[in-house]
Amino acid sequence: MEVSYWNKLFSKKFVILFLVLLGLFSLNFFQRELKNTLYKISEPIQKFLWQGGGEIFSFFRAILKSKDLEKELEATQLRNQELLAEITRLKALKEENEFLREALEIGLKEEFELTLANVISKDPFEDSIIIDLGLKEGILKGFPVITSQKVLLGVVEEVYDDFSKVFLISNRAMSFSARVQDRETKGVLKGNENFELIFDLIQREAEIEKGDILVTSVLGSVFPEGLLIGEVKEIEKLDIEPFQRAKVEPFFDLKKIDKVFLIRRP
Amino acid sequence: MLKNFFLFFIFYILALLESSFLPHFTLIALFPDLIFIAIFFLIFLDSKSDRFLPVFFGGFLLDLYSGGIFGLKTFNLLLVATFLDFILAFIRKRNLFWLIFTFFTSFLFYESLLLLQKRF
Repeated sequence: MEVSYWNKLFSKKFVILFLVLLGLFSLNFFQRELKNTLYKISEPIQKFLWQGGGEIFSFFRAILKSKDLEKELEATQLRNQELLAEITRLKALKEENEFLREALEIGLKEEFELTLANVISKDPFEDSIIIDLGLKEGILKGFPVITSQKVLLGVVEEVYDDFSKVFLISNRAMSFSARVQDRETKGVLKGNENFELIFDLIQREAEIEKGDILVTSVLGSVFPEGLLIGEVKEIEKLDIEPFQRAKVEPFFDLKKIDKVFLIRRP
Repeated sequence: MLKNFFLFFIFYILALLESSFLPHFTLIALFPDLIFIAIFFLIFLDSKSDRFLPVFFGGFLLDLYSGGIFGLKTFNLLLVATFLDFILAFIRKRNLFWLIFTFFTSFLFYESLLLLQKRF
Protein backbone atom coordinates (compact mmCIF):
# COMPACT_ATOMS: atom_id res chain seq x y z
CA MET A 1 0.00 0.00 0.00
CA GLU A 2 1.50 3.33 -1.03
CA VAL A 3 2.17 5.76 1.74
CA SER A 4 0.77 9.13 0.72
CA TYR A 5 2.95 12.24 0.58
CA TRP A 6 1.03 13.87 3.43
CA ASN A 7 1.38 10.80 5.62
CA LYS A 8 5.14 10.92 5.09
CA LEU A 9 5.28 14.66 5.76
CA PHE A 10 3.35 14.44 8.95
CA SER A 11 4.98 11.25 10.15
CA LYS A 12 5.70 11.02 13.84
CA LYS A 13 9.43 11.58 13.33
CA PHE A 14 9.02 14.86 11.45
CA VAL A 15 6.44 16.15 13.88
CA ILE A 16 8.76 15.47 16.84
CA LEU A 17 11.65 17.09 14.99
CA PHE A 18 9.54 20.14 14.20
CA LEU A 19 8.40 20.47 17.81
CA VAL A 20 11.95 20.11 19.12
CA LEU A 21 13.20 22.82 16.75
CA LEU A 22 10.32 25.05 17.76
CA GLY A 23 11.21 24.51 21.41
CA LEU A 24 14.84 25.24 20.65
CA PHE A 25 14.06 28.52 18.86
CA SER A 26 11.78 29.56 21.72
CA LEU A 27 14.82 29.32 24.03
CA ASN A 28 15.95 32.59 22.44
CA PHE A 29 13.85 34.30 25.10
CA PHE A 30 15.85 32.59 27.87
CA GLN A 31 19.21 32.66 26.13
CA ARG A 32 20.90 34.98 28.66
CA GLU A 33 19.91 32.93 31.71
CA LEU A 34 20.79 29.64 29.99
CA LYS A 35 24.20 30.86 28.86
CA ASN A 36 24.99 32.44 32.24
CA THR A 37 24.27 29.11 33.97
CA LEU A 38 26.36 27.17 31.48
CA TYR A 39 29.31 29.56 31.73
CA LYS A 40 29.11 29.44 35.51
CA ILE A 41 29.32 25.63 35.47
CA SER A 42 32.15 25.42 32.97
CA GLU A 43 34.05 28.58 34.01
CA PRO A 44 36.86 26.81 35.98
CA ILE A 45 37.53 24.36 33.11
CA GLN A 46 37.33 27.11 30.47
CA LYS A 47 39.72 29.37 32.40
CA PHE A 48 42.17 26.48 32.74
CA LEU A 49 41.90 25.60 29.03
CA TRP A 50 42.25 29.25 27.95
CA GLN A 51 45.35 29.88 30.06
CA GLY A 52 46.81 26.46 29.29
CA GLY A 53 46.25 26.96 25.56
CA GLY A 54 48.08 30.28 25.70
CA GLU A 55 51.06 28.77 27.50
CA ILE A 56 51.30 25.78 25.17
CA PHE A 57 51.06 28.08 22.14
CA SER A 58 53.84 30.31 23.54
CA PHE A 59 56.04 27.27 24.12
CA PHE A 60 55.68 25.97 20.55
CA ARG A 61 55.95 29.45 19.10
CA ALA A 62 59.28 29.96 20.90
CA ILE A 63 60.62 26.73 19.39
CA LEU A 64 59.42 27.53 15.86
CA LYS A 65 60.67 31.10 15.95
CA SER A 66 63.98 30.44 17.75
CA LYS A 67 65.96 31.31 14.63
CA ASP A 68 64.33 34.73 14.34
CA LEU A 69 64.52 35.47 18.06
CA GLU A 70 67.90 37.17 17.94
CA LYS A 71 66.84 39.52 15.14
CA GLU A 72 63.55 40.22 16.90
CA LEU A 73 65.43 40.98 20.13
CA GLU A 74 67.73 43.46 18.42
CA ALA A 75 64.82 45.21 16.72
CA THR A 76 62.87 45.32 19.99
CA GLN A 77 65.84 46.78 21.91
CA LEU A 78 66.28 49.49 19.30
CA ARG A 79 62.58 50.34 19.36
CA ASN A 80 62.69 50.34 23.16
CA GLN A 81 65.43 52.97 23.15
CA GLU A 82 63.46 55.13 20.73
CA LEU A 83 60.38 54.82 22.92
CA LEU A 84 62.30 55.71 26.09
CA ALA A 85 63.44 58.92 24.45
CA GLU A 86 59.85 59.60 23.38
CA ILE A 87 58.61 58.96 26.95
CA THR A 88 61.05 61.51 28.33
CA ARG A 89 59.86 64.09 25.83
CA LEU A 90 56.20 63.35 26.58
CA LYS A 91 56.72 63.50 30.35
CA ALA A 92 58.02 67.03 29.98
CA LEU A 93 55.02 67.93 27.83
CA LYS A 94 52.65 66.37 30.36
CA GLU A 95 54.12 68.43 33.21
CA GLU A 96 53.83 71.59 31.12
CA ASN A 97 50.23 70.68 30.25
CA GLU A 98 49.29 70.11 33.91
CA PHE A 99 50.97 73.37 34.94
CA LEU A 100 49.10 75.35 32.28
CA ARG A 101 45.79 73.66 33.15
CA GLU A 102 46.23 74.57 36.80
CA ALA A 103 47.21 78.10 35.88
CA LEU A 104 44.12 78.49 33.70
CA GLU A 105 41.97 76.55 36.21
CA ILE A 106 40.79 74.11 33.56
CA GLY A 107 41.16 70.98 35.70
CA LEU A 108 43.28 67.89 35.09
CA LYS A 109 42.23 65.23 32.62
CA GLU A 110 41.31 62.13 34.60
CA GLU A 111 42.68 58.74 33.75
CA PHE A 112 40.24 55.92 33.14
CA GLU A 113 38.66 53.89 35.92
CA LEU A 114 39.69 50.35 35.02
CA THR A 115 38.33 46.94 36.04
CA LEU A 116 40.29 43.74 35.50
CA ALA A 117 38.59 40.70 33.94
CA ASN A 118 39.63 37.24 32.74
CA VAL A 119 38.95 35.92 29.25
CA ILE A 120 37.38 32.45 29.35
CA SER A 121 36.45 31.68 25.75
CA LYS A 122 36.10 32.87 22.16
CA ASP A 123 33.04 32.36 19.98
CA PRO A 124 33.95 29.76 17.29
CA PHE A 125 31.83 31.59 14.67
CA GLU A 126 32.57 35.27 15.18
CA ASP A 127 35.13 37.66 16.66
CA SER A 128 33.85 37.92 20.19
CA ILE A 129 35.03 36.71 23.59
CA ILE A 130 33.47 35.95 26.96
CA ILE A 131 34.86 37.55 30.13
CA ASP A 132 34.11 36.61 33.73
CA LEU A 133 32.44 39.83 34.88
CA GLY A 134 28.77 40.75 34.46
CA LEU A 135 25.85 42.74 35.84
CA LYS A 136 26.66 41.78 39.43
CA GLU A 137 30.01 43.55 39.13
CA GLY A 138 28.40 46.64 37.61
CA ILE A 139 29.41 45.94 34.01
CA LEU A 140 27.24 47.62 31.39
CA LYS A 141 26.85 47.37 27.64
CA GLY A 142 29.15 49.80 25.85
CA PHE A 143 32.14 49.62 28.22
CA PRO A 144 35.34 49.72 26.13
CA VAL A 145 37.76 46.83 26.65
CA ILE A 146 41.53 47.27 26.41
CA THR A 147 44.67 45.25 27.08
CA SER A 148 47.23 46.15 29.75
CA GLN A 149 49.22 48.07 27.08
CA LYS A 150 46.17 50.30 26.38
CA VAL A 151 45.56 48.57 23.08
CA LEU A 152 41.90 48.61 22.10
CA LEU A 153 40.33 45.16 22.12
CA GLY A 154 36.61 45.77 21.78
CA VAL A 155 33.40 46.76 23.52
CA VAL A 156 30.99 45.01 25.87
CA GLU A 157 28.02 44.00 23.74
CA GLU A 158 25.95 41.66 25.94
CA VAL A 159 25.89 41.48 29.71
CA TYR A 160 24.71 38.43 31.67
CA ASP A 161 24.56 38.18 35.46
CA ASP A 162 28.11 36.90 35.93
CA PHE A 163 29.65 37.14 32.45
CA SER A 164 29.80 39.49 29.50
CA LYS A 165 30.28 39.10 25.78
CA VAL A 166 32.82 41.45 24.22
CA PHE A 167 32.75 42.20 20.51
CA LEU A 168 36.32 42.50 19.28
CA ILE A 169 37.04 45.48 17.06
CA SER A 170 37.42 43.05 14.15
CA ASN A 171 33.82 41.84 14.58
CA ARG A 172 31.76 42.63 11.48
CA ALA A 173 29.27 44.60 13.60
CA MET A 174 31.97 47.03 14.73
CA SER A 175 32.38 50.42 13.07
CA PHE A 176 33.84 53.52 14.73
CA SER A 177 35.88 56.62 13.94
CA ALA A 178 39.66 56.50 14.04
CA ARG A 179 42.61 58.63 12.97
CA VAL A 180 46.23 58.23 12.04
CA GLN A 181 48.54 59.07 14.93
CA ASP A 182 50.38 62.38 14.47
CA ARG A 183 48.39 63.23 11.33
CA GLU A 184 45.07 64.84 10.51
CA THR A 185 43.90 61.80 8.52
CA LYS A 186 40.57 60.51 9.77
CA GLY A 187 38.34 57.67 8.71
CA VAL A 188 36.04 54.87 9.83
CA LEU A 189 37.43 51.62 11.15
CA LYS A 190 35.33 48.56 10.28
CA GLY A 191 35.66 44.99 11.47
CA ASN A 192 36.05 42.36 8.75
CA GLU A 193 36.04 39.18 10.91
CA ASN A 194 38.99 36.79 11.38
CA PHE A 195 40.95 39.57 13.18
CA GLU A 196 40.98 41.78 10.08
CA LEU A 197 40.30 45.54 10.09
CA ILE A 198 39.51 47.95 7.28
CA PHE A 199 40.15 51.67 7.62
CA ASP A 200 37.57 53.11 5.26
CA LEU A 201 36.15 56.45 4.06
CA ILE A 202 39.55 58.13 4.06
CA GLN A 203 39.62 61.33 2.02
CA ARG A 204 41.42 60.81 -1.28
CA GLU A 205 43.83 63.69 -0.63
CA ALA A 206 44.53 62.62 2.98
CA GLU A 207 48.02 61.42 3.87
CA ILE A 208 48.35 57.80 4.85
CA GLU A 209 51.26 55.40 4.51
CA LYS A 210 52.05 51.77 5.18
CA GLY A 211 53.26 51.48 8.76
CA ASP A 212 51.10 54.32 10.11
CA ILE A 213 49.62 53.75 13.55
CA LEU A 214 45.90 54.15 14.04
CA VAL A 215 44.34 55.39 17.25
CA THR A 216 40.77 56.03 18.37
CA SER A 217 39.23 59.37 17.62
CA VAL A 218 36.96 61.29 19.98
CA LEU A 219 34.34 61.62 17.20
CA GLY A 220 31.25 59.52 17.87
CA SER A 221 32.25 59.03 21.55
CA VAL A 222 32.35 55.24 21.20
CA PHE A 223 35.84 54.98 22.68
CA PRO A 224 38.09 57.35 24.62
CA GLU A 225 40.56 59.29 22.52
CA GLY A 226 44.00 57.93 21.77
CA LEU A 227 43.72 54.17 22.33
CA LEU A 228 46.02 52.16 20.07
CA ILE A 229 44.24 50.17 17.34
CA GLY A 230 46.70 48.80 14.78
CA GLU A 231 49.13 49.35 11.97
CA VAL A 232 48.35 50.11 8.32
CA LYS A 233 49.45 47.19 6.14
CA GLU A 234 48.09 47.93 2.69
CA ILE A 235 46.46 50.95 1.05
CA GLU A 236 43.78 50.74 -1.65
CA LYS A 237 43.31 53.85 -3.74
CA LEU A 238 41.28 53.40 -6.91
CA ASP A 239 40.71 56.26 -9.35
CA ILE A 240 36.99 55.53 -9.60
CA GLU A 241 36.49 55.50 -5.82
CA PRO A 242 35.84 58.78 -3.95
CA PHE A 243 37.66 57.51 -0.84
CA GLN A 244 40.78 55.54 0.02
CA ARG A 245 40.75 52.49 2.23
CA ALA A 246 43.46 50.56 4.04
CA LYS A 247 43.89 47.11 5.54
CA VAL A 248 44.94 47.32 9.16
CA GLU A 249 46.57 44.71 11.34
CA PRO A 250 45.30 45.02 14.92
CA PHE A 251 47.83 45.30 17.73
CA PHE A 252 46.01 42.84 19.95
CA ASP A 253 46.91 39.16 19.72
CA LEU A 254 44.19 37.07 21.30
CA LYS A 255 46.54 34.12 21.74
CA LYS A 256 48.55 36.12 24.27
CA ILE A 257 45.65 37.67 26.16
CA ASP A 258 44.07 36.13 29.23
CA LYS A 259 43.35 39.30 31.19
CA VAL A 260 41.70 42.48 29.95
CA PHE A 261 40.65 45.85 31.38
CA LEU A 262 37.22 47.38 31.12
CA ILE A 263 36.90 51.16 31.10
CA ARG A 264 34.03 52.07 33.37
CA ARG A 265 31.90 54.83 31.98
CA PRO A 266 29.53 56.95 34.08
CA MET B 1 20.75 5.67 28.00
CA LEU B 2 24.40 5.34 29.08
CA LYS B 3 25.49 5.66 25.46
CA ASN B 4 23.57 8.97 25.12
CA PHE B 5 25.03 10.33 28.36
CA PHE B 6 28.53 9.40 27.16
CA LEU B 7 27.83 11.03 23.79
CA PHE B 8 26.67 14.27 25.42
CA PHE B 9 29.76 14.31 27.65
CA ILE B 10 32.06 13.87 24.64
CA PHE B 11 30.33 16.69 22.76
CA TYR B 12 30.55 18.88 25.87
CA ILE B 13 34.32 18.36 26.04
CA LEU B 14 34.63 19.09 22.32
CA ALA B 15 32.61 22.31 22.72
CA LEU B 16 34.88 23.41 25.59
CA LEU B 17 38.01 22.67 23.55
CA GLU B 18 36.61 24.51 20.55
CA SER B 19 35.75 27.67 22.51
CA SER B 20 38.56 27.85 25.08
CA PHE B 21 41.57 25.88 23.83
CA LEU B 22 41.66 25.85 20.03
CA PRO B 23 41.43 29.67 19.54
CA HIS B 24 45.12 29.75 20.54
CA PHE B 25 46.02 27.53 17.58
CA THR B 26 44.34 29.26 14.69
CA LEU B 27 45.65 29.35 11.14
CA ILE B 28 44.58 32.62 9.50
CA ALA B 29 42.05 32.91 12.34
CA LEU B 30 40.50 29.53 11.39
CA PHE B 31 40.31 26.38 13.43
CA PRO B 32 38.41 23.09 13.03
CA ASP B 33 34.80 22.74 14.10
CA LEU B 34 35.27 19.65 16.27
CA ILE B 35 31.57 19.04 16.72
CA PHE B 36 30.94 19.04 12.98
CA ILE B 37 33.84 16.60 12.51
CA ALA B 38 32.53 14.30 15.27
CA ILE B 39 29.01 14.25 13.81
CA PHE B 40 30.36 13.57 10.32
CA PHE B 41 32.37 10.56 11.45
CA LEU B 42 29.50 9.28 13.58
CA ILE B 43 27.18 9.27 10.55
CA PHE B 44 29.76 8.08 8.02
CA LEU B 45 31.03 5.16 10.05
CA ASP B 46 27.75 3.97 11.52
CA SER B 47 24.90 4.40 9.05
CA LYS B 48 22.38 2.56 11.22
CA SER B 49 22.82 4.65 14.36
CA ASP B 50 20.35 7.30 15.45
CA ARG B 51 21.23 10.71 13.97
CA PHE B 52 18.90 12.87 15.90
CA LEU B 53 20.42 12.80 19.38
CA PRO B 54 24.09 13.39 18.44
CA VAL B 55 23.10 16.21 16.06
CA PHE B 56 20.84 17.74 18.70
CA PHE B 57 23.53 17.47 21.43
CA GLY B 58 26.23 18.93 19.21
CA GLY B 59 24.08 21.71 17.82
CA PHE B 60 22.67 22.62 21.24
CA LEU B 61 26.16 22.99 22.69
CA LEU B 62 27.33 25.06 19.70
CA ASP B 63 24.30 27.33 20.19
CA LEU B 64 25.18 27.75 23.86
CA TYR B 65 28.83 28.57 23.23
CA SER B 66 28.29 30.94 20.32
CA GLY B 67 26.19 33.99 19.47
CA GLY B 68 23.42 34.60 16.99
CA ILE B 69 19.93 33.14 16.95
CA PHE B 70 19.65 30.26 19.40
CA GLY B 71 18.82 27.03 17.59
CA LEU B 72 20.35 28.00 14.26
CA LYS B 73 23.51 25.89 14.71
CA THR B 74 21.34 22.87 15.59
CA PHE B 75 19.23 23.50 12.52
CA ASN B 76 22.40 23.75 10.38
CA LEU B 77 23.75 20.46 11.69
CA LEU B 78 20.39 18.78 11.06
CA LEU B 79 20.51 19.95 7.45
CA VAL B 80 24.09 18.74 7.10
CA ALA B 81 23.14 15.33 8.57
CA THR B 82 20.24 15.06 6.09
CA PHE B 83 22.54 16.12 3.23
CA LEU B 84 25.13 13.56 4.31
CA ASP B 85 22.49 10.80 4.49
CA PHE B 86 21.42 11.72 0.97
CA ILE B 87 24.99 11.40 -0.38
CA LEU B 88 25.72 8.19 1.55
CA ALA B 89 22.62 6.55 0.06
CA PHE B 90 24.44 6.49 -3.31
CA ILE B 91 27.72 5.15 -1.93
CA ARG B 92 28.11 1.40 -1.70
CA LYS B 93 31.66 1.18 -0.35
CA ARG B 94 32.87 3.31 2.55
CA ASN B 95 36.54 3.69 1.64
CA LEU B 96 39.11 6.50 2.03
CA PHE B 97 38.20 8.16 -1.27
CA TRP B 98 34.49 8.41 -0.36
CA LEU B 99 35.40 9.50 3.15
CA ILE B 100 37.39 12.47 1.81
CA PHE B 101 34.81 13.24 -0.87
CA THR B 102 31.82 13.22 1.47
CA PHE B 103 33.71 15.11 4.16
CA PHE B 104 34.60 17.99 1.87
CA THR B 105 31.19 18.04 0.23
CA SER B 106 29.36 18.19 3.54
CA PHE B 107 31.91 20.70 4.92
CA LEU B 108 31.32 22.98 1.94
CA PHE B 109 27.58 22.65 2.45
CA TYR B 110 27.96 23.50 6.17
CA GLU B 111 30.19 26.52 5.47
CA SER B 112 27.80 27.74 2.76
CA LEU B 113 24.95 27.69 5.28
CA LEU B 114 27.05 29.66 7.79
CA LEU B 115 28.07 32.16 5.12
CA LEU B 116 24.49 32.68 3.97
CA GLN B 117 23.34 33.26 7.52
CA LYS B 118 26.14 35.76 8.14
CA ARG B 119 25.02 37.77 5.10
CA PHE B 120 21.45 38.00 6.36
